[in-house]
Amino acid sequence: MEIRLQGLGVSPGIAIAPVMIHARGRWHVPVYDIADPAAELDRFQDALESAREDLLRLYAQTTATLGSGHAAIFQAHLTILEDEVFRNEVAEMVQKQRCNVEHALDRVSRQYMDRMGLLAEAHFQERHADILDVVDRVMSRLLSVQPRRLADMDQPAIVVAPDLSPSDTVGLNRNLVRAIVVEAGSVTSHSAILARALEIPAVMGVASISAKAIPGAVIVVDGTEGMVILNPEPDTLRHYEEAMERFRRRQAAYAGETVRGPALTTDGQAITLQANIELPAEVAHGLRAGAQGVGLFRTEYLFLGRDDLPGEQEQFEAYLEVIRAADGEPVTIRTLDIGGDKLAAYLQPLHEANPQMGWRAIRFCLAHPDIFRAQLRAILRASAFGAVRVMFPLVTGPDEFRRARAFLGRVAEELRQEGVTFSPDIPVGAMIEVPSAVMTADILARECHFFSIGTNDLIQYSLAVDRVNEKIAHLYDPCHPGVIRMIARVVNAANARGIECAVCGEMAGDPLYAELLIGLGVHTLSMAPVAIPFVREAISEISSEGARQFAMRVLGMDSADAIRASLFQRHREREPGTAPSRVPETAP
Amino acid sequence: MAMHADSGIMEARDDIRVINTLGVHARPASMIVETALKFQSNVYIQYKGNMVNAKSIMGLLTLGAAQGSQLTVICTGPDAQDALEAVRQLFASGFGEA
Repeated sequence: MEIRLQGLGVSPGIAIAPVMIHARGRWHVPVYDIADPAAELDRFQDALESAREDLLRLYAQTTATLGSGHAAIFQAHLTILEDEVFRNEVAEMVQKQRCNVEHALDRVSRQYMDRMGLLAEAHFQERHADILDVVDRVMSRLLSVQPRRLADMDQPAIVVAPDLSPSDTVGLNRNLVRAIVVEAGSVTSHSAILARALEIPAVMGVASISAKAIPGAVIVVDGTEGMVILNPEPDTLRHYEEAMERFRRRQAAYAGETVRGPALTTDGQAITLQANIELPAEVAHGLRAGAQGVGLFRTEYLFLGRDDLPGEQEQFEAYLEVIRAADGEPVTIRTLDIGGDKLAAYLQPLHEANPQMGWRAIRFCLAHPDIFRAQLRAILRASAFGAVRVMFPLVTGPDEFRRARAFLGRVAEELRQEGVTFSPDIPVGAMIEVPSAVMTADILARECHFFSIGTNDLIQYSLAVDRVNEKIAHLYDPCHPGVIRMIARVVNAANARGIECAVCGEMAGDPLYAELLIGLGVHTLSMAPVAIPFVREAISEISSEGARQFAMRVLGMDSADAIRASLFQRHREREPGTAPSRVPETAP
Repeated sequence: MAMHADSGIMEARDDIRVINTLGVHARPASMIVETALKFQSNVYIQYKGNMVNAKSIMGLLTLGAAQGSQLTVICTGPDAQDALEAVRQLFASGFGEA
């Protein structure tokens, strides 16, 4: 029987493929006596050499696809693998006890891991996982067991896992991984960011999926809707195959054209479409799709999946790469939007009952002047090379915005005194994603150069819904009248002061909402590059006057259901013949 | 610096403080290994009664030496003094952390 599981769609797109369960199992390590220690040590040498070749290959591959920062994890593993003292201890045990090398490797590495487990600070304990990774790699060669590594996949599959480690995600093969489904994780987790960057559909927060899914069985993953379907019925399969095919055809149709300039409504109103990006490579996707710059450059990626902090110079170079790729178009850089829970690798462990409302984003940065200063210095230095704007996330109101801006002012003054070149009038904006920022948008508009509404968090905070909690995820609703009114309020406050108000959450990339947002007075939409052609097409079918009237009507509606029904109705009128109740082929 | 009269082995030792914010985590540890491997001498680091070989990343990772820790570096061998100096400079540089 078909089973539908709702999770959190963190990377859009549809996949239909066999399941590969990726679980980090421990080995059954055999113990036996050996007669010939020399032969046993030869076996050890061969396994070490083979593991080393693996790591060198992964290092080179990852450097080429994601850059050396992300490849560093394999370099660290090489250093562990090449530890002579450790190798000698294993060899000595084999010789003295005349035991098999697997047993010696297991015992010796356990001693190290046990000692590390006793250490007080989390970031020392975490190396445990790296040692385990290296030992597993050698052990799999010794036991001739197929290593369960995503990087070593050899046929297309949907990867299903309880959780993915940075080493797993960094090494995954984008040509073979059709989709990712994990039990843990959130929109900002390392694997979610990577999935989006590689444009692999991904769903997270699907409870006990790795126990429910059968290896090799074909399942459907809809990363747009956050849906996973086990044992799909023939009708379901057909529906999703058609959706995939439509998506592919439309993408192909756009791939040949180079669209430039803003999207135009039927009556000639210009709407700026921009790209949300994480990796420099995505800028090119965006520009090809006709993006006028980068509306949201998420910088978290630089900080994740590593055990040290990116320095000012490294950040400067990363920002510069994006600015150069943007080719003169504006780039809005959002300052670090993660919290203590994600940076635990190099900070004191922090256990928050509710990290979404915890020590993160601008709060975290203001409390860590060193981290914040390095990032702002890097952004300011990069501003000398292009149209850079800086945006603070999770601003809750005027006081917090002023503190952040004052900090930026001090950093700018430092640079001035050092004689470093930067753009003196860099625009500074606030991400509007907390209800208190909505209610003070009129005050913020006097001091910000621009707003960008982050609809995902705004909906989550307004409706008090954690999207990862499967019991309430269905309550997350962009059509809620409260949400629509919040957006209207922010846009009005911005337009009253003549500052730009962009929308950069998932709503911006969904053609369903384009008319409503434009009707409410939004002139800039920023979205995943893949969504740009679809939103451009939707805009080309609406008039600004019609949109204004439609938005007025929606603001007068008294229920989310009524709003949703009218949105679908308008969508059907624009695109007769397309799926009436949902638009799975369109990505946020 | 001391010379053991019977063996001719040189020994050099000194106390060193960890000044970088993150302590001896993975990256500094690999830098220490890289430096220690350049010398013929044995290089050991002692911290809280635990003594590890500085040419072993695994050993260094079990130290758990955070910022402010006081370590003893002990080098024995023909180039003990140079090895000690190189390790001392590495710690003093804060491992190039920003």
